[in-house]
Amino acid sequence: MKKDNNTPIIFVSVIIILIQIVTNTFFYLGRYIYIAFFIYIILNLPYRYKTIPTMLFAFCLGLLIDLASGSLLGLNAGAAVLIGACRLSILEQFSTLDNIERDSRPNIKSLSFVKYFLYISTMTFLFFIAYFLLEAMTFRNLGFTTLRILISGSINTNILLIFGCILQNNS
Amino acid sequence: MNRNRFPKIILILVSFLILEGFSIYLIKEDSVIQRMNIMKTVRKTNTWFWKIGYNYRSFYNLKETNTNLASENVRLKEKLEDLSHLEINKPNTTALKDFNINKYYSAKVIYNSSNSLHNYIILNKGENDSIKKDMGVISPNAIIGYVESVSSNFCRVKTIFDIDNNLGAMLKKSFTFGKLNWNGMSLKKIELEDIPLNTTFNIGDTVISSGYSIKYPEGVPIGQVTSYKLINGINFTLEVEIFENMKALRYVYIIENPNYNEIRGLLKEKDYEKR
Repeated sequence: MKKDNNTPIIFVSVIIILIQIVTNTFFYLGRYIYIAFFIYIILNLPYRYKTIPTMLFAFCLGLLIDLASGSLLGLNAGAAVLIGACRLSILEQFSTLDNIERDSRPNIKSLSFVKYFLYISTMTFLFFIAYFLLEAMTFRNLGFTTLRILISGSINTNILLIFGCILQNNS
Repeated sequence: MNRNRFPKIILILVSFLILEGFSIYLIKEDSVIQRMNIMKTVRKTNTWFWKIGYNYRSFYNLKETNTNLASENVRLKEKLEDLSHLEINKPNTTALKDFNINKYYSAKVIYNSSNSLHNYIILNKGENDSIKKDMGVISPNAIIGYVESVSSNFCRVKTIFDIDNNLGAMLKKSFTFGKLNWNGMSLKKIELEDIPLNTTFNIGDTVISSGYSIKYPEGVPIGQVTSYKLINGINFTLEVEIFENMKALRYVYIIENPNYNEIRGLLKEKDYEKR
């Protein structure tokens, strides 16, 4: 496996952050749908990133999105920390990390499509469970919260998969 | 091997709890953070973007805005007609004149969030227009919320469509008080909780502000009862459809209660005595 060149990744990450801010600020998608493009950056981090640096990076990234898009401060940050904490453990479930070059990133080639899909969907649903529970700060109206998690989780899994396929094909 | 991993797991767990705890603190103390300088700068940039969006939208909504203003004029004229006969036998009210007369400021909505469980609006009035924190905000049709934070030229209003924003309201017919609370489900409906079992009410009854708040005056309309449910056999929770279409909100009034500081001071004094 070839070592990744980080320049296009940084460029793509900046574009993703900008798209996220514009979406949060100008588009009204209702209370059932929240599009979280930025989690792709966390999911796409190289294998060499350990859990604590990933959590710190996820927290800063989430906080940046919260600050720039005027949403409730700490909401994206809190949800991103959870996926940052679980990332390596979940990746371990889908691949034997010993066989993978530490500088490479999780992708369809290294994991296979099914495993990549499972990785993306698990992380996306984890993010939305944390996001919507933190937003509500209560277990009241759990049916409504579950519906929000299911709708947003499904839509985002598809978006991130398409994102992943396009970007990995191009690279 | 397990022994080596144990401190690492503890370290990860502690880091996770610190970061997650800090995020929850930020979410809970959002209003404190709003006042921080970094937040003010970010809000300034956001507001600049929203203002561009507002200018664009307001141009295309001029017709609707004019219709709304015209119908509000008609309503006010009708009210004036109703009150005009009182002028004839008007009592000497000079003693009352300085007391409890609210001051109103009109403002335009430049940003309206409706995606979240913590919705807010941004208005084009700020400290330079004498707007202060905690002032009530109403529209011609209903209560909207209260000013949460203020910058030089703009203010952020926490609307009644925020799950953390509770306010006192009452049924207009029976004067029964309850707590108005949004459950996050619909941007048209809100719940009036804690209505005693012996209360008589009908579907279609009007709900108004109770006046037990230093932010809003008494009697501001909120909405009408559309359904009800019995909670634990003790209280009713009424579903109230609000009179205002939040998504089409363009103009609002900010209310200044001239006695705010005095009442607030007394309330604080009372809290201090309790301790």
